Amino acid sequence: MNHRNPRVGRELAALAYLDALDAGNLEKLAALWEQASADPELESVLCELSEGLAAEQEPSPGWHADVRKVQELLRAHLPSAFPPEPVSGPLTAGDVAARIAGDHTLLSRLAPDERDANARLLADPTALPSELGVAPLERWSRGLGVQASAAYWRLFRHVAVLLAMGRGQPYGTTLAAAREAARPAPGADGAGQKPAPPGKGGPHT
Amino acid sequence: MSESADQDAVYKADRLRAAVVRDYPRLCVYIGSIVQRYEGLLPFDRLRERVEEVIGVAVERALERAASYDVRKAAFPWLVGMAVNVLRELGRAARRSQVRQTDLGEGWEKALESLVEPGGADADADTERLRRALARLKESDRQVLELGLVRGLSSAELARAVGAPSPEAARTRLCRALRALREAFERETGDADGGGEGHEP
Repeated sequence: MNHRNPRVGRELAALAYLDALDAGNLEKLAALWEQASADPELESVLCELSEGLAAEQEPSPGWHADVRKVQELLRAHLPSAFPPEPVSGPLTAGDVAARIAGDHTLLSRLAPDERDANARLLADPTALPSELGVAPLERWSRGLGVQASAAYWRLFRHVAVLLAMGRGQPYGTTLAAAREAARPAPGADGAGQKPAPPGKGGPHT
Repeated sequence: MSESADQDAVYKADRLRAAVVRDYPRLCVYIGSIVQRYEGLLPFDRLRERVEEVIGVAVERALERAASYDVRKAAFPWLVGMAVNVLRELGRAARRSQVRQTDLGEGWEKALESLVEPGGADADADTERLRRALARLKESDRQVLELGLVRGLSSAELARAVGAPSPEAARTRLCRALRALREAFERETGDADGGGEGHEP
């Protein structure tokens, strides 16, 4: 169903979710989540609703307190769910876009056209430049052929820097870029070292 | 060619693994909440056991199917959908309540759109019914709908405006208020069909 006003479509989808949940209609629930995997707005609505309902249900902070333990258990019982080492390989445009898409707080900050741009980047395996300064990243982003606002690219860069740091990726200027992220100065001129490709988990090149 | 296909599969599997690691806590909360809804309040250890079982099967299945994973899709909702399907296959959801399958057709949805964009639609009989239905709601439901649906406040703004403890709680209130509106609209429709009894405030 096509709604002239996207807000109405979103709220009706949320209502359909609540109906399915109350009716025990798991088929419909699964279908809505599947639909949400291609619709960031719907994903954000379902996540908020699920968290709201879970908070109503559970007076104690059981899950939150136990999550670390549960993760350890999962690691023990289901090693295939975890990579043997932190995800390796150079970060790609798709990795950064996926991180943004997977975080509904970040996603909710984006305008619809910025979300479209992010959705297009999800499938992009282009490796990030070796330097994540403002200028190198701007040059690199122009080559992707995806139009987005300056605000989107600032968020993209911020997330890229954090991901690179979290991955321990040997981006030459990651730390410098992180520091630089705090001030809007132009970055260095992209003459840094290339990322040393780690042993496994090779990305697209 | 096969090397590139292999690389592709590895890349996709990596993306899925990363999503599992990153989103595992949320996955537990969401699936745990659904299990609790159908099985009642379980002791936490039992609940965890159930949730681990469901998520374990879902993750294995997701990794088996990694090659067919469409990377344009977000991994987290895809995984939740898969886990819900596993839950369904395990027969864990008894039908909990008889929620009436309402089919109000396009009239209700069009009327809702005209409520949100008053200038953009014909003020037909359904729109009038919806206005009457809205007038019948509790003040708190009306307020949430006015702010969240008509004025389009974000969940965070809505939470501040109505004093909800969190944006997620505000979203849940909005959803329930919309359900109350739908029920009132249905009653209005029934009243209209049955000759109407009139309902002055």
